[in-house]
Amino acid sequence: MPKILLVEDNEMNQDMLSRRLQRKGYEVVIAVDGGQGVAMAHSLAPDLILMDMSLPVLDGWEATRQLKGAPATRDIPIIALTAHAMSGDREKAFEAGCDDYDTKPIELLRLLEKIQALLERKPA
Amino acid sequence: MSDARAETDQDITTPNLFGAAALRALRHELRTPINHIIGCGEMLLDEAGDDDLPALVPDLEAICAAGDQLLALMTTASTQPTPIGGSDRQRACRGPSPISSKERAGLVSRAFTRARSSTSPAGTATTPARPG
Repeated sequence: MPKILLVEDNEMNQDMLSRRLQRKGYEVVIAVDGGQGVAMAHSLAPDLILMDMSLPVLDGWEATRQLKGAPATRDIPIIALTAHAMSGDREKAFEAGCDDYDTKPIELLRLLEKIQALLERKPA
Repeated sequence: MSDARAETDQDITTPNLFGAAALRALRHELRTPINHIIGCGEMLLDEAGDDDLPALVPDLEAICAAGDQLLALMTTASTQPTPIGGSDRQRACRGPSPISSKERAGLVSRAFTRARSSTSPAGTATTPARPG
């Protein structure tokens, strides 16, 4: 069962997305801020990370930069999630090292396609 | 549907009286709870389908559709170049909805009535559960 780390500070978003992903067969672990997300990525070695970008403590861009800069976590695919497609957000996410990008409200089928594509691409 | 839900760069850069930063914050504050309505509705739709509860599906679809309409209405209203009032507000409230506001309200009201009656013992009044 692929393990997904969901880095999201909003409790309702955590609940909705984790329940829906679990029903699709994924194991979901949750971090509530960017700092915890970086720590959990190191300790749990998830198969993929869903990263909200507006986070307390350490925002999603900086957390992504740290994860992509560390040998132990740089190969973990990261999908950026934002509540609104601000001008430049997409480019910022890719510049930080995100492998893909999606906007809220989440369309589950679209997100599942992106998750699956990145999991298949991930080096063994 | 993804195109309808996504904001565009043009939306973000539309001149307005509030300024770009304030408008961005306003949209974020409004979009978040609407996203919750849509997300919860879709999650419950998934669960109704998986748990073989087809009777719930039409009402949940109505709630999701109302959420989409609300999101579109919010986007329309928050990109008005002038303060919304009078006829502008009436036009915004008509928004992109294919149904009238009365029909929309009726759909949502019937959905909640059915949900309450399907989860309550006969003749027992209930208060809708509130999120924690």
